[in-house]
Amino acid sequence: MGLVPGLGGASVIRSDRAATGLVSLFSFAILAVFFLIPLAFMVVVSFYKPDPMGFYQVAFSWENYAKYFSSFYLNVTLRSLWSAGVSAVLVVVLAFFAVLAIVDLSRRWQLFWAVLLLSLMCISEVIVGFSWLILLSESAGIPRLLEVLGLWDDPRSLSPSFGAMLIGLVTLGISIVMLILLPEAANRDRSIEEAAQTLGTPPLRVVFNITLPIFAPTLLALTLTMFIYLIGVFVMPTMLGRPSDWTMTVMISDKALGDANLPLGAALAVAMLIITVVVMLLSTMVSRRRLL
Amino acid sequence: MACESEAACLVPADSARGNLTMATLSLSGIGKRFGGHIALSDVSLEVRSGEFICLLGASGCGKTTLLRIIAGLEQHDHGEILLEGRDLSAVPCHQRNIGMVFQSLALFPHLNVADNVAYGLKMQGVDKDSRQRRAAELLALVGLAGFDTRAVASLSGGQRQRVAIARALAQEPQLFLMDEPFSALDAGLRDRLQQEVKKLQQALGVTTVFVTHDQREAMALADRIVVLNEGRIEQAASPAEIYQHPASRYVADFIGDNNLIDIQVSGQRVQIGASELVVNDAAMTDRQGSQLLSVRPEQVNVSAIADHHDGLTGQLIMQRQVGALVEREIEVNGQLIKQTCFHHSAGGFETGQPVAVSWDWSRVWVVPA
Repeated sequence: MGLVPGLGGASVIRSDRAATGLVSLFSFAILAVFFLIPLAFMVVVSFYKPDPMGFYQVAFSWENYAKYFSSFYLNVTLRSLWSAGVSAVLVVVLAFFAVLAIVDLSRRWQLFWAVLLLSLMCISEVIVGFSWLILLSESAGIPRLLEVLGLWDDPRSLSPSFGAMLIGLVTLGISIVMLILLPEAANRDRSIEEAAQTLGTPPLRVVFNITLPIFAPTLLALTLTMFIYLIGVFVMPTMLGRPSDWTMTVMISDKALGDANLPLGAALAVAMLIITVVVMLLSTMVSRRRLL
Repeated sequence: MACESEAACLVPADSARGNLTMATLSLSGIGKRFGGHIALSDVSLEVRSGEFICLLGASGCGKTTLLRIIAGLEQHDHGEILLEGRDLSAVPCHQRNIGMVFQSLALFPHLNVADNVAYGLKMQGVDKDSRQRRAAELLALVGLAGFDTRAVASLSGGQRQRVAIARALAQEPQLFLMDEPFSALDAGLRDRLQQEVKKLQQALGVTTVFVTHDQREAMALADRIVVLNEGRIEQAASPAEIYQHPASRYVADFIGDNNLIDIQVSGQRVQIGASELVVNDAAMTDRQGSQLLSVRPEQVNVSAIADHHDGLTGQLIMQRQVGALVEREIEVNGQLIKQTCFHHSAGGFETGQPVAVSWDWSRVWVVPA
């Protein structure tokens, strides 16, 4: 839009600002409708009392939060943080080294991997879970293959287990992280790594001395993103984990839908949200201090 | 204190020299292919101890590939690289003890200035105190004393350049390689850094191979220029020799402005287009038949046509004043001849005017076939 001379110009600038403000207002409205209002509703419900005949009774009670602070739910919280943290770190570490290998391949193979990763992202979480169930099963999967190869005399199903659940979580996250890292790794200034070589660094040490520290801020941001994403995953823990491996997401669903105790489910969700935010803020603060 | 404006700031104290040793570099029959493309073909070169060599050529001529092969960043297909008599062919890059300044400078963004400079020493297992002392010496040498803890991102282009040079020199390399390090700098800063690098190299005496596509830079820096074309060495000689006596049509055309004129020599008669001249210069008429004459624009004389003129004549097509110089183009027998002279000695000619064109036959050069 052109700027009209004189007072007209000022009015054009004002109308541009109004248009920008309208777009911002629309974004805020969408955010409010789909995120803030349900969140506020959840917080309110978390103080209600459960009703055995229905979802809840309107009241103000700390009872649900008191239950959260029982050892059972605290254990589930720690387990959830642990499994999401471990799988997020595994996802980012594996993705980083895989991407470094992929970007050294020919253009054709790079394209192949990019398409494969995009395809992985399109597959439903349930399908991925079922695939691992089959692959880890005693009769048709990896244990059976190891038996045929003579590497395992007494094969047993590898799922459900904590390891199986981690494999499922890593599978969910790795394609996303690899696709984010691919362009950055491909376009990195290789002469920095070459300079390290001319200064006496063996190639493998270049990765740890130079490449990894340069990528550290990106990897840290991706780890935190993955942590948040994986802490909310529901399907993998239920399909591939034992009940003792189940995360808070499964518990919330179990309480809210299985036991029809929406107030307790809401209280667990609010507590988990607060803990996740606190963990994120702490890790951001610590990592910033280390990076600076 | 930074000394971006002081051309003489890179003069080393004895302590900053460290244990820098001069080394001879010998390349013999180096060849390299990238798929079907021949990047280097049978390149042989001797670089004397303490010599400053410039690899000069157009983009894609193989100069950077040759530098990377010397550094060990590329593996050559055949040939031999000897540094002070030691065969480097099977020595990996990190064990060659060669300092290199990259075109992008390639400073480590996650390390501060002193840690960048001391990085190579750390890899050599030098203790922390010695590393810090050496880094401080080198930073003082390049005019960046007190910049130790600064982030490299906060430095100017010239300061980064100095850090890259200090870093490459810290490990006391036998050979110093520079890959178009000044290409991203503005003209003024580039000139200053060229002077400083030349002084530093002369003071340290480190054998240096410098890659550039800028012939002015090569002329200003090099003891010897190696002109590369399509993966082959066209000529390796001093800047004056390259300019005055180009060894091939490519060099004659590539280095500086030049008039390349096809001539036919028969006895003492020289045919240029439709004109025939009698030349009494023995060196000129030694070579008979078709030859290529290299006449630099400053060797061309333009004068008014005398009554009984029997030399070359042409028509003044274009003239312009560029500072103290006047540049002209004269059409002689269908070929454009360029002339450059000082404004005060240019004479007054009108564009379009017929003029006499001549040169001193003892100073022009017949390009070897």
